[in-house]
Amino acid sequence: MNIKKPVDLLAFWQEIHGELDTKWHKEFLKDKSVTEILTHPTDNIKVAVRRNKRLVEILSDLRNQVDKKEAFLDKYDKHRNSRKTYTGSKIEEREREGKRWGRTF
Amino acid sequence: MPDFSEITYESLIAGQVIRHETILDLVNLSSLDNRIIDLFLDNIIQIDPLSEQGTDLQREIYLSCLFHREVTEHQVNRIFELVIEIDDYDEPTDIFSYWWEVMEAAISTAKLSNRNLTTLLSTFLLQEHDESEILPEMQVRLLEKIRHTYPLENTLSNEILTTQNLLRQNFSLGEQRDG
Repeated sequence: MNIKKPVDLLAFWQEIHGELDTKWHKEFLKDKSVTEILTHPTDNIKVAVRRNKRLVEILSDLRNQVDKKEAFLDKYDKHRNSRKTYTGSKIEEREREGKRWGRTF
Repeated sequence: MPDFSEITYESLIAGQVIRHETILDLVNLSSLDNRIIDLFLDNIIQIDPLSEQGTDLQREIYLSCLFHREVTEHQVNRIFELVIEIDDYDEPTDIFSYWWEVMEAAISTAKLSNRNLTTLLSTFLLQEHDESEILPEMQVRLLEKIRHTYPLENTLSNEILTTQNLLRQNFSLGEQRDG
């Protein structure tokens, strides 16, 4: 089961922590943490939900998982920061380099 | 059985069409011309679209390439990167559960780059995962293989050992739970 939508998160949360009173469903679904929680991979969300009950703690756990991974890569992937990263389209990339698309004048 | 002497690097690069079922026999040849592996990885080989593809062909091809004695460091790392950078890459666990044998074979070559090794560790092996997605036993197995195959800094080796112990506790707890 992938967790991509607020209702998926609620369903998984209930699977782990038990049924939530229906009157709280609306609060849960529109909680401001939910949007950010859903930007993380399902697997990480499942681990965080198993370890925490409150949404704010689930989000904090997810942020910690990301921080831990970044810290690991910073520590052991020595050339990580010296590698060029491509974050946009080819056109954006060339614009950043100050060149025009196609021939360089 | 096709005559493999007629399938050469030159004939393949010139556009010789081969059948899906022939590919696997070809990559399993002990006398395989190493340059043909590059043709697979570059998707240059022309395959007869009417031939039967079979299941998991890509995975079988990668495995055979990795078991090849002559596979180069560059080829090992290309295979690994192809495996973890699949187009619909959104759930690392989906990739791990399908490709773990290829990852294991890549580790066993002792030719994975430091970059790919750290990616493998940070994305798949040192993190806690949902057990329904990745079994801790699999993580432990690959971590063990890494520790015995690569020269690692002491701190990293200790970090791997600590994770292995935690994961082992998880699955022994699971076994107790399941009776």
